[in-house]
Formats: sequence, structure tokens, C-alpha cells
Amino acid sequence: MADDVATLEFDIERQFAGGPRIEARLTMPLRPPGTLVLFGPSGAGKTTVLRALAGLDRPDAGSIRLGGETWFDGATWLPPQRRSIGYLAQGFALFPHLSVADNLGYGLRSMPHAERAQRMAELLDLLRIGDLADRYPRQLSGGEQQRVALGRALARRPALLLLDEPLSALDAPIRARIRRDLRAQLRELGIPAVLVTHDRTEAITLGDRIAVMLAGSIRQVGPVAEVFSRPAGVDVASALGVETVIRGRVVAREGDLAIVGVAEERIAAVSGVDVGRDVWLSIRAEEVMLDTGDSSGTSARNRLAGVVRSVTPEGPVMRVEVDCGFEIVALVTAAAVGQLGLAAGVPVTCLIKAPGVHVTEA
Amino acid sequence: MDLPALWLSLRLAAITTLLLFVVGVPIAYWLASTRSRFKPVVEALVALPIVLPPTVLGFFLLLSMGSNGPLGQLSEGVFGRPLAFTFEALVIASVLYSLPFAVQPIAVAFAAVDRGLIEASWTLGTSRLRTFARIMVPLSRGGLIAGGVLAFAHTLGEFGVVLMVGGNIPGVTRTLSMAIYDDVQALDYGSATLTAVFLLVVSFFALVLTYAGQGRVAAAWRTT
Repeated sequence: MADDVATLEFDIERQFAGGPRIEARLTMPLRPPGTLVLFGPSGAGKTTVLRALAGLDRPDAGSIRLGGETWFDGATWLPPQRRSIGYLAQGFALFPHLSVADNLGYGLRSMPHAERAQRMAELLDLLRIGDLADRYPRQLSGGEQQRVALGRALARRPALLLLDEPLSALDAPIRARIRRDLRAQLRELGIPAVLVTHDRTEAITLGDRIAVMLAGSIRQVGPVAEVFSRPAGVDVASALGVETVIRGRVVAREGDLAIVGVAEERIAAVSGVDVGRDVWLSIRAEEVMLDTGDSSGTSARNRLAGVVRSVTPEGPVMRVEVDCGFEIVALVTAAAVGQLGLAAGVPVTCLIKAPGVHVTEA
Repeated sequence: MDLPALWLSLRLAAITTLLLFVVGVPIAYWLASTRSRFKPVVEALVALPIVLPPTVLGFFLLLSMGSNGPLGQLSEGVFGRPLAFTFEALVIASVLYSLPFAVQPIAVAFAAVDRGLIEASWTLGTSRLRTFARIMVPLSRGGLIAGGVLAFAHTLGEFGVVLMVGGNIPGVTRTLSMAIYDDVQALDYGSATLTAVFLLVVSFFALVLTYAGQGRVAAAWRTT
């Protein structure tokens, strides 16, 4: 595989009888390996795309290419058996009648015995499930099932990992922990991955890049923070539900508040995350107030000085992007824009209440 | 008890059951996985022997197996002898007559296997046939056992169809249920009772075996 064609490239078209029309096109670089999150509300066609990539459902038209290899076009349709993929299904689909070891080794039958044993040992070690090898799926916790399923999907060293709502089968209390584990695993593995989710927190935590899918088509693709701060349209913005996503690190704690360092600034948020942890901060644009005075008489814990970069109408309100060393998006009324004289280049202070800053551990 | 008739019935039931797996499993798999609009038609055809009087099925088979029927002519062309009133005729008739008893429990068991497991196996590089053997068969074991046992027991006790296409030739087409009929005609109630009790006991244990097998599978699933 030559470096210049190291991409996953697909164009998936499918018409459901009496239902939505899917027309999804995307090119994703495979180097450096990263995770692309296919994000969108249910019914947007994310699963259709993933199942087409896995070879489980054939689109009506289009093409799928990985590196120099054609998986699908007018004349070709490779079945799942002949694609170098690891597929993690919703609910994990572990074989109930096989032990953890037999589940892991299921796809390795053609390997010589010694090589197979070595690969199994690697997987058990990588996913820290060595002590589970003889158990059966029904004897595992949700988190353990997730690790076994991931191990099984990785066993054949796939060129592409496909994950369908990988955390949706887990109970809410453990989901956050498994999400952190999964992120670490995806980083460590170095395998390009496509992950489908409708959960914003999952998208932010697990994705390097995000593709927003709405009503059958991919509306925007880019690095996670960039897509959140510059949505391609009102519908994309509303699907994302949050406009500002910034990376930081907890530098101090004040009671229930975590003080997060972002660039040169300190942002207070209501969160229990410990000092030293890397986090993502998400802030809805409605939570951001703008002031051109000194704003000393306010209850907002966060006062960030910046410069207006742009003002654009968005539906009935105005969308104001402010550069504070990083970008913060605010939604304000047209009247407020007029009153404060907001325009590109005007210095302004962003006021954000600490409860309005949502913290997600990275 | 009429031992040649017992031996004949057991042989007939065993061969029929074997053939029903060969014919019935693919039909059951198709029924369990198809989205074809012809599915109800095929389902109805398979289930027909349940509602059809055995004599009606036997009559049509007899016509087709006779010297002027398509199956009869085929047999005479290939083997040089007629088909009606032979052991082979009984086998063909029994396979058709017991088809629903094998296909229905197997199809139900196949349909109950999570499609996601089958797809997971495919994405792990396993062919469709191997996936069937390694995932589908072990996970529908209860249904396969039930189908086999029911087909065997049902064939062992059939009467009307056998009478129509086999006649009642000792050692060739005279089955156990036929022997009971003859005994009663000859007022030999002792022999008839013996055979009848034997069939009753076999049928009862066949059903116990079937339900016990399904119970095990169900219990295994409950603990997940």
C-alpha cells in the first residue's frame, strides 16, 4: 500500500423503500491512525454506512476503497470475510456457547498453532483479561464483555476497526470508566477506526475527527474542536448541541470547582475531576454572555477577555466568535449586538457561569 | 409383537429422519432468514401434511408413483421397476408426511439465534457454511433435537399414507401400525395391545426427550 493512497474513501448511496435516502461521501486519512466519529441523531444513516463498510449490507450504488483495495464499486462487492476489518457490534455479540479464549481465537483458526497461542496471549495481556480466559460471556460484567469483544475484533490485526455504538449496551454508572478505557485502547492500538455514536460526550472523548451525519448525508468533517466551534450550518450546530469544545488540564480545585488551565486562562467549572487530569470543556453558546465594560459586578465565575472575530446571523439570533487565545462562541440577540457595537476587532469580555462549563475527562 | 414389522418401522423412521435433516435443515434455514414474499407459500406447503388427511396425501403420492405417474415412470426408466408398493415409496411418502415435524422446530430455533452473532462470525473471516456449523447449529441444538425426535416418532406411527402407497406387504411395507390393524382385524387383541403399548411408550419418551432438550437450552439462556 503506497503512502499516497493510504485513505479510506467511500461513497455510499442507498434508498430505503418509503424511507430516507442515504448519500454519504467521505475520505479519511489512515496515517497517522486516528478515530473518526460518525456522529448524528438516530435515523441519520450512520449504521447504514458502518454496515456497508463492514460488508454486511450492500449499498445501491457508490464505492468503498481502503488503501489501494476496492471493497465495493459497480462491479465489486467483497463480503465481510474478505475485508481486513475488526467489527465491534452494538451489544458486543460474543458467542454465548464459547469461552472467552475461544471467542478471542475464533477468527484465528487458519493460524499455525504456536502463532495462534502467542497472539491469544498478546490479546489477553493487552486487554487485561488474562484471568477471564476460561469464563463464558454470561459470567462477565459489561465492561469485561466490551474488552473481550474488542480483543476478538483485533485478533486478526485488521487494517480498519469499525465500532457501532460501542458503549450503548453498558449501564450509565460504568460507561464513563469504560469510555476512558476505550479511548486509551484506541490510542494505544494505532489502528484507524470508524466509530458510530449519537452521544456527544462519546464523540468528544473518543474522536480525533468527527463527521456529522444528518438526514442521510455527511454534512461536515474535521477535527472535533473545529467542527464544534465552526459548524457548517444551523442544523449541524443544533445536532452538535454545543458550540465550544476546548482542551485543558485541571490545575487546581476550589471545593466543588475544578480550575482548568486553557492556554493562558483559568476556567472554573463544577466538576469532581482531580488535579493534573486532561479534560475537554464544552460550553453551549447560550451560556456565554458578552460585556464591553469591566463586568466586575457579576456572579459569573469566569471572565475571559478577548476580541470579537466575527458576527454572523444564525436564525433569530447572532453568533459571535470571540478569540480569547482559544475560541469561544456566544449566541446573543441582534439588539445586544447593536447596543454593544459588536463587530470584528472589538475587545469584549466573555462571562460564563461555572455550572455552564461541562467537563469531560480526556 | 410382529418383529419384521418392528424392524421395518425402525429402519423406515431412521432413514426418513436422516433424509429429513438433509432436506429440512436447508428449508428451515431459508425460512428463518428469508425476507422473500414467497415465504408464506413455502411455509404453507411444508405445513400441509399437518392438516391434510393422510389418505389424501397418500392418494396423490400413489398416483404419481404408479406406472403412469411421473415418479413411477422415472423409477421405471432409471431402475427398471415400479415405485409404488416398495420400501422406497414408503421413504418418499414418510419424508413428505413428516416434513413439518422436522422443519418447524428447527426453523423456530434458527430464527431465535441472534443475527448479530452470525454477522460477527462473518466479520471474523469465517465462511457462511462454517458459521452455520460453529454458531447456528450449537445454538439451535434444542430445536434440532426436537425436529429429529418428532420426525422419528411421527414416522414410526404413521398409518394412512403408508397404507396408500405401500399396501401391506409383510417384510416390505408392513409397518408396526399396519400390524396393529391386522391384529385387530384378526381379533388378536393381545398382540395388538403389545404393539400399541410399545408405540405409546416410544412416543411418550420421544416427547420427554424433546422437551427436556429444549428446557436445557432455555435454561442456558436464562442465566445470561
